[in-house]
Order: sequence, then structure tokens, then C-alpha cells
Amino acid sequence: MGTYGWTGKILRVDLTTKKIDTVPTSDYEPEKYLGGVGLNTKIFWEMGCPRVDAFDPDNPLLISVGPVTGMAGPFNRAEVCGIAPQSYPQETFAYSGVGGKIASEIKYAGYDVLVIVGKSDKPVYLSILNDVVKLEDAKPLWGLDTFETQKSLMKKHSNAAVLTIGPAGENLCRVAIILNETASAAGQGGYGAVLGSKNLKAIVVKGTGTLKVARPDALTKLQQERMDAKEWLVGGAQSWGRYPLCGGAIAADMRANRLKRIAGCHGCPYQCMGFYDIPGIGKGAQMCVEAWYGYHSGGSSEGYWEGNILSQKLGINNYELLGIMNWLRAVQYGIVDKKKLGLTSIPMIDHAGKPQLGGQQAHHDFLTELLHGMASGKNILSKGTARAAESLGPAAQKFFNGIFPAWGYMNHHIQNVGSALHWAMDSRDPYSSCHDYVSSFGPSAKIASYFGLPGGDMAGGKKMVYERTEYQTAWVQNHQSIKNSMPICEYASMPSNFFHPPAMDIRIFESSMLSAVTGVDYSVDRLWEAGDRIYTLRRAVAVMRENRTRAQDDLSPVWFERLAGGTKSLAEPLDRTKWEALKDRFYVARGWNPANGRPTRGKLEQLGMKSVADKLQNAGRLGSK
Amino acid sequence: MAKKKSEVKKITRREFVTGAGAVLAFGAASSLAACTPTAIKTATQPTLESVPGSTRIVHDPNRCAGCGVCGLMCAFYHEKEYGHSLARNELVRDPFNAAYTFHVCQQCESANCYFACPKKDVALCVDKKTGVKYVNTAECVGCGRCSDACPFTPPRANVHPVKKVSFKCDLCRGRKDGPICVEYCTMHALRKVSGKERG
Repeated sequence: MGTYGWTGKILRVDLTTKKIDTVPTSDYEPEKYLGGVGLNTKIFWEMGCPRVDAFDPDNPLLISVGPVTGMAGPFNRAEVCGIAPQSYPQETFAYSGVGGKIASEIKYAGYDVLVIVGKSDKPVYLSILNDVVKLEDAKPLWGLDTFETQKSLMKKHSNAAVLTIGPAGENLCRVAIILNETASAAGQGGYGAVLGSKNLKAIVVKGTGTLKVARPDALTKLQQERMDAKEWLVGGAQSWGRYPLCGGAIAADMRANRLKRIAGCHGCPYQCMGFYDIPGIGKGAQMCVEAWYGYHSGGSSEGYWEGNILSQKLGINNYELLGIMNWLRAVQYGIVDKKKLGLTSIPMIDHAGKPQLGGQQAHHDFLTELLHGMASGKNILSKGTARAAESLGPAAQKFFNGIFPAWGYMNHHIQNVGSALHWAMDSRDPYSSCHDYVSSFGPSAKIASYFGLPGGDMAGGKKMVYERTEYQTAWVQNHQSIKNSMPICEYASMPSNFFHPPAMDIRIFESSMLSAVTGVDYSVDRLWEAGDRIYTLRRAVAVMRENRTRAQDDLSPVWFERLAGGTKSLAEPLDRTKWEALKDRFYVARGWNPANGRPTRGKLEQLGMKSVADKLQNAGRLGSK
Repeated sequence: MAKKKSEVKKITRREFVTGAGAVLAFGAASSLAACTPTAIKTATQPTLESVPGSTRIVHDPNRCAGCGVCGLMCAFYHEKEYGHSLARNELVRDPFNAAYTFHVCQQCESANCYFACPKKDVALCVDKKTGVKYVNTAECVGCGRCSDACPFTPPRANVHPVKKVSFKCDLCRGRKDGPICVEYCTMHALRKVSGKERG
């Protein structure tokens, strides 16, 4: 350990006792769990899956990089895990990825994982300069926005990478983000509030170490082939983040007059972000999530940009903001009284992207009131839309459920039965790592059949296909786990990328990359088994900590009904009978018990997780065959 | 040979990277200041009359997206390892202004590094065709005088922390496809320009 791929060290920081030490990564079988979500989940499991609330000091904040982090390519991704305050109806063990520059710096500083527990008695920030790790006073930083905090710390720590929270995280807003640079955030999950609950304002990392590669010639060959194929690394997904997705006048104006540069994460040749500057509002980057905001912009570039910059600065999840905007139509329809939301003005909102009534000034007033209200913890929506909707009664909640299908997260590409099933089984919006449906299998029967899966169900007028869909979902779940654990950027790792069968496909790219870097022979099968293992361990955590059972593996009942005016993205409502039959087959395909959805001993032992089976059995939660 | 201490202490590359050597303000303006040469040549020092103005790499900050693949591929090509501290170039990233500053050897005609080398033409050599100054690692003793002599901050020649030999940009001398940073820059922000073009 510690020679190739993994640095071999896990940094542990206890904010209560101020104790800082390291433990060997080899204690957690990194070759089996890779890094990122896999390693975080393994560490959480070994901690005994603490049954505490998200804001309890014993909720560990786990930040993992992975074996390929720090290399040239779309690999600068860290995964944040812990108990997520955003999840609903109960807080779940979930995850959120972050790009920017932070992951590489953590790796160069010599760590595979940061494990942060406890709660500081006063505001602090964590500074990591290689092996010099300190907790420093953050009182002067408390209350600053995310941009100001980073600028201040980068001045003091010579261009280090900074992960920080804004006022939203400090005030325990359940949709608070942890931001690095601009537009690179651990957004979903509300982990910014976990930092806030620990009195931890920021994490500053600078690393000057180097990373050896086990098989440099193999890596060079892999890179050069992609370069020569002009796929180093140019993918269609680049445009998702570079320019506003709404099209029309706003996109044209932003692109022609406000775009300053193309931008992106450290070490990645994709460069999928656009960096915009509107005087009076601010400068910063946007990615796909921000690029969606055009539909709610008040009809102007200024409105578009203000929504993005203000939420980033205050440290609020931009994706949740989109959900809120959709849900606020409940006010227009008379389902919710805006006074109950603590908002004086709500501009008319048209989700079809048409100019909205009220104009730019109304949009500005509304955004200011809403976002500052959320960041200060005073507005009801700072608890997240899910909890706000619940407190406003059944009608508000039903409208909410059409937009937020499960776990308290806004709909994200539920466009076929496979992605609906994937959502039902996860512990948050899983789409950060499963665009495989919308990019590859849904639209292309050709790509799907190459991978042995049913597909093409989004092409030609959207069909609702239940037949063999369990295999597609299980495949994407395993792939999601691999992406989250190498970790590799979602944009670079869709099955439609590098699709040159049979010589090259995304599985071959990922397994070859891991083998070249680590020197461990990851065949495609071995890599897929790792994905299977990681997904199954996540399930074991949910079963152990949240007593997850089959009954919870569902979307909101609204998704089985016809509902006028909803934004449900499926061609047809789900069919309950076919859905339950699909779930039966899905559990069997995964090696879980169909009656309760718990993993079985046979499956766990097949994946080399006997101790997990033993612990589940001791707790009376092992799936019987 | 022991490393000769300069009278005025220069900031080493490592200290520059970690910020331990001096207070280095963050931002584009200060980054530009940091790459201004303190002295291009001294009065007593000859210039390389026999060598044409050399080829070097130039950076277009308006095209650059700040990814730093240039540095990663550089370190990996030359050292088979990744990490900024082994790169022959350095990209300073200001994410709040999308301002990116690129530091790389300017292949000066005055070549302070070359004249400072106690084994010049053996350890620090000049390519007669291109004018590129390069290190023959088999002969380099790692005294660090080339680094001390470099007029730029941070210095564009540095001593490898483990191998104890000097390293600097040699435009990937001998690489079939030219400098790897130029080839792998997907934004086409880096360009190799000849001495003639440079003027």
C-alpha cells in the first residue's frame, strides 16, 4: 500500500478533542472499495453506522479521493459522505461529489480520506499543508460568503485549494453546499450544514507531493490513443455546462456578451464550465445545474446570473433552488399561501421558459428575500423544500411530490422505468452518476444491446419498458458505484463515451486506467464486481442504520397517478402491478431478499463480505436467501 | 560539489509552491509581477552570439481554461510521476477572475543558467539548432547554480528533490510530436514559437 494509486494514509481529525492522527488506508481494503463513495461507505460501516442525527457531533464527515485522483484527466473529484440533513423523510447516509481543485490537492498532500468527527467549541478551519495539519481560528471568517472566505484563505495560504461553507451552512440550512472555487460544490445532501454544525468553516489544502504510476507505459498508451482519436477528452456533455441550457435570448446574450472564458476542474481537459461576468452582479463559473436556471430567470440575463451567483455566494444548493422555483407554482395555483412561506413577492413563474411577469426588478427582490431568508435560517425553506412542504399541509405536499419524487430531492431525469427504479433504490437523487440512462441506454438501443441490456426506451416517443429493466438498473448502479469510487467525472464516463466496440468501451477505459495506475489487475469483471460490492455495502448501511426495507424502495404515490399540471417526466404514470413485479426481479438480480430488500449471506460472501453478513445477522437484518 | 550559497537568498521552487519562502499575494497582478525578470543579463556576461534566438513556449491567457493539464502531462512525461512540484512549467490559477498565469523557461538568449553552470556544455547545454537550453542529467551534479542564476521568480530551473539533478523545460527535446504540454492542451492556449518568429 502507498506505492501506487493510493497514498496509504487516512487523516482523522476530532474537532472536540483537537486530536489529529493518521491511520493506514490498508485497514479498509482499498483494492476492494477503490476510493470515493466506496471507501467512505466502508469506513462508515466499520464505525458501526452511527444512528445519530445529521447535526450530531458523531456524524462523521468523510471526504475521499481515489486511486486515479491527481492524474491528468477527468479525475479531480472528491466524494463527501455522511448523514445527509437534506434527505427526507429521514436523514440518510448519502454522498455528494465535488470537483474544482480540492481533490488533487488532498492527494498531493498525501491522503486518501479525511475523516472529520466531533464539534469544535468555536469556529475553526482545518489547514493541511502536506503533513502539517492544524486547526486555526475562523472567527474572522464566520459570516463571510463563500467567495470572500476562499479569497481570504488563498491569500494567507498561497493559492491553496479551499472547501468552504457560506452563511447558509453556518445557519444549518439543510440545503447548504460546500464550495470549492466557483461552481464546484458538494451540492446535494446539505453537507454544508454538517460543517456548520461542527463549527468548521473551511478546509484548506495544499500538497506538494508526487504520485507514482505503476505502469507508466500503459497509461501513456491509453492517453495517447484517446488523444489520437480526438477524444482527449472532448465529449458532447461539455456544452451542458458551458452555456445556458434554456436557449433563446438569454442564452444568446450570455454567450455573446457575458462569457469571459471557458473553465473547468484542475487536471481535466474537458473544461465543461462557462465563466461569466456581469458587472454589478458578479463573476463566476457555471455548470449544468446553474445552466438550467435560465428557465426561471425573470426573463433577463441579469436575473439568470443573479440566481446563480447569489446562491453560490451564500452557499445554497442551486439544484434545490430550481426545485423551489418549480414548487412555487403551487402558489400560483392557489395551493399555498405565499405569506406562509414568508415571502412578500413571488414573480409569476412559467416553467416553459417564457418571459415571466414582473420583470427583472421583481425577480431581484424575490431572489434577495428568498435566498437571504434561507441562508439566515429564518425562512421556512431553509429546512429544504421537503420539510417546508410537509409543514404546509397535504395539498402543498402532493404538489411537491410530483416534482420531488423521493428522498426529498428534486426530479432529475426520471425519463424511463430504469431510472425510476434506480431513484427508488437510492438514498438521494442518484443522477450525479447515472446519466447512463439519458445519454446512452435510453436513446440508443444499439449501445444498450452491446452491453447486453434492453434500451432505446426514450427514443421515438418514450415507451414504458418493464421487461428486463432490472438488469439495466443493476448495471447502472454498479457503474455509478465505480464512477463514484475511482472517482471519475460523470461527463467523461457515460457508456456513449469511448464507444468503439469491441476494442474500446467505457468499461475497458475505466478498468485499464485503474490497472495502469495501481498495478492491480482490474479486469472488466473484477471492476464490475467492485461496483456490485460497493452498491451492496451501501444497501447494508441503509438496512443497518435506517432499517431500510422494500416498502421504502418507492417513488411518491403521485408518480403512479395521472396528475394535471405536474412536471412528471415519464411518458405514462408508473403501473403499480408491473412495478412491484419489476422490484421482485430486481432484488433477485441483485442477490437481495425480495420480501424485504435485504442483502443475503450468499451474495455478501460471493463479494468477499462475510463480516458484513455476520454483522447484519447479529442485528437480525440479514436477508434470508 | 557543494551547493554555493547565493548572497541574496532566492525563493526555491518548493518554497514558492508552498508559500513558505515569502509572502506571495494571490491574484493576477501579483502573479505577473512574480514573473518579471529581475535582471535579464549582467554587464559582464556574454550573450550566445553563435546561437539563434531559441524556440520557446508561449501561453495565451485568453484561450487558457486553467486546467493545468500542461503541468500534469509535463511531470508525467519527464518523471513518470504526477504532481505540480515535478512539472517544468507552472500554471497559477485565479478561479475568481478566470485569470491564469503560466510560468515556463523563456530560453533566454542571455542564458544566465548556462553561464552559471560549472559544467556548461556538459551538464547545462545549448541545442545548436534550436537554441534550447537543456540539462544533461547524466552529468548534472545538482549544485543548483542554474536555479540561483535564473532571473525569474520562481526560477525556471530547479533541483529535483529526490534525484538531486537540475530540471527545466527543454521543449521535450527528442519527443517526436514536440512539447507534450502543447500537444495535450485542448484549449490550444499553448504554442511553440521559433526564435525567428519571436524576433
